[in-house]
Amino acid sequence: MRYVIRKLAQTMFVVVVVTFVTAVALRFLPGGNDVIVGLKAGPGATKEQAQQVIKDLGLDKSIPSQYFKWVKDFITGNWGLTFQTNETIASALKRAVPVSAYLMVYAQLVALGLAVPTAVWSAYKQNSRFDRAATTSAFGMLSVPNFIVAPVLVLLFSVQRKWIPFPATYHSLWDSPIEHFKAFVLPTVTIAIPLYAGYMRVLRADMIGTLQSDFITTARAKGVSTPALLFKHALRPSLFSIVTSAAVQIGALMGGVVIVETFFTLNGMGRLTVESIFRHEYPTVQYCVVVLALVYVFTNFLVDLAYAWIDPRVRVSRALG
Amino acid sequence: MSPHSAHTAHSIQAASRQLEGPLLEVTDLRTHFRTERGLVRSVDGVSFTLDRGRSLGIVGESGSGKTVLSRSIMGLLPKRNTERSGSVKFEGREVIDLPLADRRKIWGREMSMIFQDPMTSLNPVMRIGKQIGEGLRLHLGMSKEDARATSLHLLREVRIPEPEKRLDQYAFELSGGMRQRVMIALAMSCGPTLLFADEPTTALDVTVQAQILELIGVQKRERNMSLILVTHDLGVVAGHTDDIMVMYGGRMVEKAPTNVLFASMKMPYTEALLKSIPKIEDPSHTRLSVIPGRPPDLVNPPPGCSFAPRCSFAQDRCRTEVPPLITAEHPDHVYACWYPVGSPSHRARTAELAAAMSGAH
Repeated sequence: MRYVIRKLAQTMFVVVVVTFVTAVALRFLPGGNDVIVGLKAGPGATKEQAQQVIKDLGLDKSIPSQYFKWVKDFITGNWGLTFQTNETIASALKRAVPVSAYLMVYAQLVALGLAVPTAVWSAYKQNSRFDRAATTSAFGMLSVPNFIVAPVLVLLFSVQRKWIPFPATYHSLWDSPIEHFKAFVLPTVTIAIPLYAGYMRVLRADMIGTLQSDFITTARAKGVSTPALLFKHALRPSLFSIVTSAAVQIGALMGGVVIVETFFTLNGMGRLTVESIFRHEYPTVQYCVVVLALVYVFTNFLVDLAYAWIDPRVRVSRALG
Repeated sequence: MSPHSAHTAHSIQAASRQLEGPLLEVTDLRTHFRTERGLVRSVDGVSFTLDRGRSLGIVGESGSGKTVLSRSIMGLLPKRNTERSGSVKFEGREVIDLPLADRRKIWGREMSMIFQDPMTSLNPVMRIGKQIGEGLRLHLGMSKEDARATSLHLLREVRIPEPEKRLDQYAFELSGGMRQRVMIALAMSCGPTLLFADEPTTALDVTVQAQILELIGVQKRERNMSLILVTHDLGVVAGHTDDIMVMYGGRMVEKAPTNVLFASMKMPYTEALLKSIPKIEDPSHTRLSVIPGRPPDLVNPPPGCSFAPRCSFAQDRCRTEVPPLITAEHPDHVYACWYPVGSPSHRARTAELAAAMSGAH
C-alpha cells in the first residue's frame, strides 16, 4: 500500500514538473503568438481580429496563470479544443494514442519474440556459425537508420510486389483486422528491426554469463534436457538487461517514432506532438507530455514487478525496505 | 504410486543390473583442452578402477586435474575445444563417446555430482523443492505431487531443519551448510550408483565441514553407493575414503588404500601434501611447511617427472625420464617416483637436508 502511494506521489510530481517545464519552454519558440494568430485568423487578419484571438485563447495572461488555467481544465476534464482545428484535444489524443500503442505493442512483440530465441540459441552455441550470423546481422540492423529501412520495405512490398498498399490508411483492429494489420506491418517491421538487434545483443551477453554459472552445471549434471536447461534454468536469471531496455523502449515508442509515423502516414503521438509544437498548440503539447509521463511511470511500475518476478531476492528486499 | 514405492522400484531395478566386475573402469583417460596458448593437458593418461560401494579420494593441488578428471569421467565437459581419449567403462559399458542424449540418462540417475560452492551451484530463482523434484520427474517419471513428497523425504534424510518450509524457499534464504545439504539431497534424489563430490566442503565453515562429510558418508553406506571424493585436503579424505589417489600435473602419481598410503607413502609429493596440513598436536605458531614453486604448466609440462622442479629429492634422472607407475609392497599401492620415500637415496638426501637446516640455524 505504501508502495502504491509512493508511486502515485511520484507520478504526480513527475507530471507537474514536466508539464510546467513544457509550458514554459514552448513560449520561447520563435514566432510566439504570431504563429497562432496567423494560423487561426489567417494572414490578412486585422489588428482587432488578432487581439480577439489572443484574448479568446487566454494568451494575454501571464505564463503561470495560463499554466494554472490549464491544470484546472485538466482536472475538471474541460480539456477544450485545439487552437486551430475545431477538434477537441480529447479526440485528437483518442486518435493518436491507439495508433502509437498498437505500433509500440506490435514492434515490441515482434522484436522480443524473435530476439529471445535467437539470443538464447546464440549464447548456447557461442561462436558457432549461427551465433556469428546472428551477431553480425544484429550489428548491421543497428547501423541502418529507419529512414532507409522504411522506403526499402515499401519498395519491396508495396511497389514491386504490391502486397501491401502504400500509403495505407489506419483501420481499427476490431472493425477490419486485415486492413489494420496491412497498415501496421511495414512500420512495425521498420521499428522492430533495430529493437530486435538491441535486445538480441543484451540478452545474448547475459545468457553467456548465466550459462557459465555453477548452477547451470548442476542442472546439466541432473540430466536436464537442453531446452529445459536454456529456458527453465538459464533464461530467467538472464532477463534483467533486456527487461530494462524493453521498458525504456516502451516510453520511446509511445512518444512516437516521428519519422516512421510520418513516412507511413500514421497519426500517432509522435506526429501529434511534433505538429502541435510547430503550431504552438501549448495545451495539446502539454497533454501529450502528460500521456508520455504516465506511460513512463506505468512502465517503471511494470519493470519493478518484472524484477520481482525474475529474482525472488528483490521481493525480500522490497518487503524489508 | 507413493514416493517410497517409486524409490523401491528403482532400487530393485538397480539391483537387477549386472553386478560383476568393477563399477567404474577408467583406462588411460586423457582430457586436453585446446586453447590459444596450446593444448592444456589437464588429464594425461589416468587409469584406475572403482568397485561397488567403495570410495575413492582424489587429492591434488589446484590445477592438478582432479576436477577435470571427475567431470571427464561423467562426460560433463563441453565438447568444444576438448579432446578426450581413453576408456571409461561404467557397469561394464563404454560411456566415453556416448551421445549427449544417452549421457543425460546417466546424469543424475546413475552418476551424480555435488559441487564445490553451494552458494552458486543452486539455481537462485527456482524453489528448492522444484530443483530437487526436477530430477525425480525427469528420470523416475514422478508426478508433481510425488516428486514433492519425495523431495521432502530427501530433505529430511539430509537432516535439514524444518524441511516442509524449505521446499518453497529459495537458495538465498538458506545458510551455506543447508544449501550443501540441499545439493546432497539433489544428488541423491534418483538413487545414483556413483556419486562424485567435488570439494564439497571447501566453501563451508570449518564447523559444518565435518557434518557434511559425515552426511555424505552415511548416505553412501545406506545406499551402497560408490563415492569419488575430490579434494585438495589430504586430511579430508583420510577419514572418509577407502582408497586415495594423488594427482599431480594431470597424472596419477600415487594410489593406495587409505591406511597403506598413510603408513608408507612413496611419493615425495604426497609426503609434502601431508606436511602442509597443520597438525593439532604441533605447538602453536609452528611454521607450516609449504611446497615451494607452482603446479606445472600443463601446456608445456617439464620433461621427466612433472614434480621434479619442486621436489627436494629430485635427481638428474627425474628431470629427463618420466617415472612409470610402480607397484609397492602392497599390491594395491602404486606410485610414480624414481627415488621414493624410504629408498636409500631418499634417506641420504633427507639427512643432507636436515644437516643443512640445522647448519642454517
